[in-house]
Amino acid sequence: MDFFGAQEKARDRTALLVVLLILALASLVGALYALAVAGLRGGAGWWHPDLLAATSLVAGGSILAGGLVRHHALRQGGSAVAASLGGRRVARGGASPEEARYLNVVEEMALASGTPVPACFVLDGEPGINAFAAGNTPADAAVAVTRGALEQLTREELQGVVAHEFSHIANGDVRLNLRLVAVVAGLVTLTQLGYLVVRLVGNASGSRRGKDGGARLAMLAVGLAIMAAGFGGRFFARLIQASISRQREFLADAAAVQYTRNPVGLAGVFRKLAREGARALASGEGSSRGLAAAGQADVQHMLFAEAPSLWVSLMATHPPLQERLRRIDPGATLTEGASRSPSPRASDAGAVGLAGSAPPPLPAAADRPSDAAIQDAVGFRGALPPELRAAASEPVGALGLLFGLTLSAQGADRERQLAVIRRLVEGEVEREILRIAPQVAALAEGHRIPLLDLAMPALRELSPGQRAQVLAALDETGVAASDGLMGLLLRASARRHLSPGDPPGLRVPSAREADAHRRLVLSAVVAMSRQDAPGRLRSHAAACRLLGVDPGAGPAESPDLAVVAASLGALRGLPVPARRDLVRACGVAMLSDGRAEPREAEIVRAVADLLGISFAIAPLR
Amino acid sequence: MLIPLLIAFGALLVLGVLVVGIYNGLVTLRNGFRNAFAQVDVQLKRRHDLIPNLVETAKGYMAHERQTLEAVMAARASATQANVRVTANPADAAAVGALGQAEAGLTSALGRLLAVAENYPQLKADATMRSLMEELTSTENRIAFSRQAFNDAVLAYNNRREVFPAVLLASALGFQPGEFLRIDSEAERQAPKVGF
Repeated sequence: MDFFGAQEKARDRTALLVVLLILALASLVGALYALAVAGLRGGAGWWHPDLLAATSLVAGGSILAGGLVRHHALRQGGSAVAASLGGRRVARGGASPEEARYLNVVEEMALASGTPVPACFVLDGEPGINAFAAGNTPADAAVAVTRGALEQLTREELQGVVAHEFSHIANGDVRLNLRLVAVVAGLVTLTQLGYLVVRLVGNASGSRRGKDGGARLAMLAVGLAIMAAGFGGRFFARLIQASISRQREFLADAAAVQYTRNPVGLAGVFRKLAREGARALASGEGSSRGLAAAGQADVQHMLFAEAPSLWVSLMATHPPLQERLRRIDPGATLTEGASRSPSPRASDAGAVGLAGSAPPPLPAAADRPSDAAIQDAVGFRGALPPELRAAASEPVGALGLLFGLTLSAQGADRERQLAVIRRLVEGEVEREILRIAPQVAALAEGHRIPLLDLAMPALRELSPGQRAQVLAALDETGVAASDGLMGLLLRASARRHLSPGDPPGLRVPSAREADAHRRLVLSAVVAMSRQDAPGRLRSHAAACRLLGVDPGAGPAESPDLAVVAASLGALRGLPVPARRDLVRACGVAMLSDGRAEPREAEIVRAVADLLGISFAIAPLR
Repeated sequence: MLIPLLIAFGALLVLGVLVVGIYNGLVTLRNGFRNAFAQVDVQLKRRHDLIPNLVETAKGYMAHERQTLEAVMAARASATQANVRVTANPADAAAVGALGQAEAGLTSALGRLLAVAENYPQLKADATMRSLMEELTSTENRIAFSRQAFNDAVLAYNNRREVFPAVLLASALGFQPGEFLRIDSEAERQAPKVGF
């Protein structure tokens, strides 16, 4: 499957969004205007500039207000969104067997895709199979699955669903969704407002009847009229939502197959969904089910699957299941039994398992390795010591891991750092560090960033006050020059994930500054490779060429770590596509000798994390 | 005719947006502290799981102190029970209060056990006992830490609930104040920190 080609096709449908938005606005204003003319001027004449201005004001105001409210609610981050939709957070301790399996699957997918582990939620009240991802950046992402998905899906199928959600996070769909939800919510506001009026009037008329019946009737009419006008907006809202989200679903399916290397799981989910849908339609439940029920109409497209309905396919936020299945596994049908063996095509792609297997062979030192090769090289395939995995699953253990990974190896520095950490949680963090120290010291190259990724969900559970304490301790322990680039990146990563948001005053660097910073960052990445000097020069040049940056005098021999850190900080001010390209260039620098050493992969992953880019790389513009 | 209508509509819009915003904010915060309970729950369960072993070990050395040992087991049983209720709904203020009391009871029963254990040097020297004690202390610290996170989340919810204008609507919309989890009998401060 040409995954990256598909991504290109689905890219940036902003133009369509804008056109539809204008149409929606026009239809809203038109409907309101007609109402106003008929209601206030008795239909006399069709040109009333004052009315037109007023109705535009009303329509624009309500769209803006509704959109802003929703935008604000969703901006709080993935966990808050998942919680507001009724998600229950699943913690490692106290998880039921199905939940533990779900947590394992999420961790596997996070490591395979090179993203920090998101917070995991379960929607207990949902018997159907569904899932969604929320959050604006990989750092605050959350995934949620329904109880039905946990109970009805096999491990392989659950893996497909989770991988699908991951690709939404990695591709920035979640951010796109945020805007989309806001626009849709804005367009739907008017309908809701009309409904509110009708409800209020309806309730009032129950209590005292008779006297002001005329006025109430008028109010009722106004409410219904507003609702009717709102339906125009609603129609276009659904169209916008649908047209953008269908493309994204294909993409996420494609990426899920790439992450899991196995289309069989996802295909099984589609079959189960199709059976469930047929059952629901037969029993007349239609679309009035669970998450998809009324109030959540504007989050439809965030879900893994849409409720079965007889809606026109134009309005569907998800492509038909048959089509989704055909794209991941041509020739498969929805009615086949789950026991069907994978098609030959599937087994070519499915040869590589997730954990413990060797990385796939890379193409010979081409001038530019493909994005798929970069992604594969960065995916983590090793096995982490179970004791460290266990520590990563609860807050104090995760803190022990965080500090254990960032402390200096030994000497006076370490003593001083431990003294600072002794203040945290009654010395419990220090004890944890000492307990896991042997395993941490024995960690193979390339295992540190993945471990930190595993610890993320537990660290996110700290309250804001606790985070502040931890950040202060992290600052106070400082970083010793002997810790190397990795020590610096680990620390910066932890800091980024614990901080509430980007520091204020992040400015866009000028082109000259950006070039210098990028050259330096690439130098630092190249310096980690075990190539000889000419090889490093070539890698650096290839990566610089990709970015259109003048390689200058070649890579710096031993770049000053503090300066590299400052450069990375400054580069965070670049727009997302530019940061993506930089991550890609780092990948090219890593792979230009045809080999990805674990420590190189780790560096690239850390750079990506620091830049807030997750590891499904979009194609070059 | 037009201006008053516009004003009425604007007022309605503002009101609607306000109500929706308050409601959504409260739901998010309430679910937030419900979720924060998960970590407390993990640590409390760990403590509850440690106690039978502790009692079993102690029994071998202090058979005459049956009453003290039984008191610990009884306190554990009621704490476990109280925990089941809170796990079902951490927003249930009465249940959270009861859990705090039950855990405080357990803490003080443990404290008495440890005070009595002072008289049995062999028990104090027992390797199993020492490691159990170590783990118990560590668990207590973790409970305190996760409880802090839970209480911070409850505080954020209660604060949001009590400020104007949310305070006018919160009760009507069914948002009851959240209860802090307190495990603070005087016993807590002395009991588990016994050094061997």
